[in-house]
Amino acid sequence: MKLTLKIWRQKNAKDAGGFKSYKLDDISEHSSFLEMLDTLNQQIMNSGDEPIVFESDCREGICGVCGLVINGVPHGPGRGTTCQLHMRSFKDGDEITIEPWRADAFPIMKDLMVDRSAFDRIIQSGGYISVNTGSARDANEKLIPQKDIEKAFDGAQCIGCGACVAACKNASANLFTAAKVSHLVVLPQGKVERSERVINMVEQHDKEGFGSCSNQTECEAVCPVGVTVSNISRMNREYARAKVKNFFNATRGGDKCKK
Amino acid sequence: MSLTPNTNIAKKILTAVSGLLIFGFLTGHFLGNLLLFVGAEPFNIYAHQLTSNPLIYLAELILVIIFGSHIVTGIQVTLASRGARKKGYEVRNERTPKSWIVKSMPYTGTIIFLFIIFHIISFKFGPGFDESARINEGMLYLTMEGEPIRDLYKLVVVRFTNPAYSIFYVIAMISMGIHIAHAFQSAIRTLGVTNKTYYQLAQKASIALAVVFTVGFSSFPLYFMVSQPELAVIEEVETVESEVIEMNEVPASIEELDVK
Ligand code: HEM
Ligand code: FES
Repeated sequence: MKLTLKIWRQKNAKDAGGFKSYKLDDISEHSSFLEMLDTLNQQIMNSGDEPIVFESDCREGICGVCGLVINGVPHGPGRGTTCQLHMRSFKDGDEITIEPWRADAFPIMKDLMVDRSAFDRIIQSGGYISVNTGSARDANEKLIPQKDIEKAFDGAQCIGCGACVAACKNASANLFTAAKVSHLVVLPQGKVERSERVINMVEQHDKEGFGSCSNQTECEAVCPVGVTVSNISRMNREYARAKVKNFFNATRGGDKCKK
Repeated sequence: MSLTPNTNIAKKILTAVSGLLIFGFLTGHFLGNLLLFVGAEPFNIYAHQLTSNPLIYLAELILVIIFGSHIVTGIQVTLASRGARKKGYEVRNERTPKSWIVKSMPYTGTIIFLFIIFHIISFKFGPGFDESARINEGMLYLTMEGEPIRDLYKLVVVRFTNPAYSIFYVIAMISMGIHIAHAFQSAIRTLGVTNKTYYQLAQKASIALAVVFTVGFSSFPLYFMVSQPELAVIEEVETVESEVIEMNEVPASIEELDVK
């Protein structure tokens, strides 16, 4: 198939950047979106120019680094990640606009690659448990109701790709943060650090400069793995609970953030 | 550790709680206004009792706090969100339907705010607010028991029989309806309802509340605009001072006789 690509090019974090158009003549509709970009890069390199920088790693929808905004939708017209998108989702002769994630908390490093380390810092602020959960066979020692497992899994599936931020009109990372908070809080092992986790993660989220949630649910609509917005409601509930609890602990002269 | 709303989520929870409390005010205000359909006597007496009760100052203070915290936190989260993506997309394709309703929240909110200011100036602080000037302004009403009170019913009729005023009022109410259509279910979500069934119910309730309050509050201006009740009499009363008392006294005493 023949395609016209309009791609964001930006030399470095400081460069203003701009769109550049490219033409591709012979792309198989069975190739993946990233293979199509590989072909384009080969063509660009053959003509002696610098190839387009975009991220990819697993190319099987697991690692979450390959996010691109394709024709105005994070990860494009499919339901999964960009690497799981195939050219048969497009028509011969299409013009495709490719942009990086846009959020001030995700600075563009080069072309289509953004710095998502803000997510790492949110996780570092509380997305972990400090109890020893034993070895693999100990996993079945503690029985957990199926409905809790499902709730935990809803959050645990998050691959941290950042499509929620890219799609949100407010560039909010509430879905990402909520997925982590929710995943841990519904499991007994995660209850220990329940209060400080949610408070620290929510504060870090704001410190990184992500926006607030307007409950539009665009994040859920683009999430490649199907994390639901009910995690956000659970995070809000947890946050309110932790704040009130800490407040009463403090007024009683107790330590903050103790269980 | 304090309860200071230092994060956007804390602020949003305040927006949601104050927003839900505003529904309480809207309900009370609407039910009271329904007396406009009953007549001048019950409406004026109701309004008089409401405004002459010393507790009104406490109620007004609470309303100012509720609306104030809604507006302040609403603006804060909106500004935080605006600042989070300074450079936007070239192409944008959203999957959520009716996203313009969500995006218009700050604008519909601003229209409601301006409307409230205008509404308070034109009714509460309008003609007849000053007790000593009531006769001159033609805003005095004598109850059947002979008590002279403010003729707010007349003020409502004078305002709403003016089509420009009524249409402006209805437009403000439609803005409020659009705000509510997203607001109620959003608040339910913000306040932590994770259950899908309850959430879907809240979504339907949100639309229902939007329709009820928009149609409900619009019914007053539309009713008076269309029916144009006894404008002639009202204009006469406005011009001739001494007639104010006479006009109100005569039917009052006749009705008193009728009752007895
Ligand atoms: C006085 C003028 C008003 C202003 C300036 C205003 C402004 C706002 C803003 C900016 C938001 C936040 C939207 C977002 O998160 O993106 C909001 C949400 C909301 N508003 Fe208002 N509003 C006003 C009046 C009202 C009224 C009359 C009601 C009640 C019927 C109401 C109920 C709500 C509710 C329930 C929310 C949802 C909170 C949430 O997202 O969880 N507001 N408002
Ligand atoms: S490359 Fe790993 S998810 Fe796409």
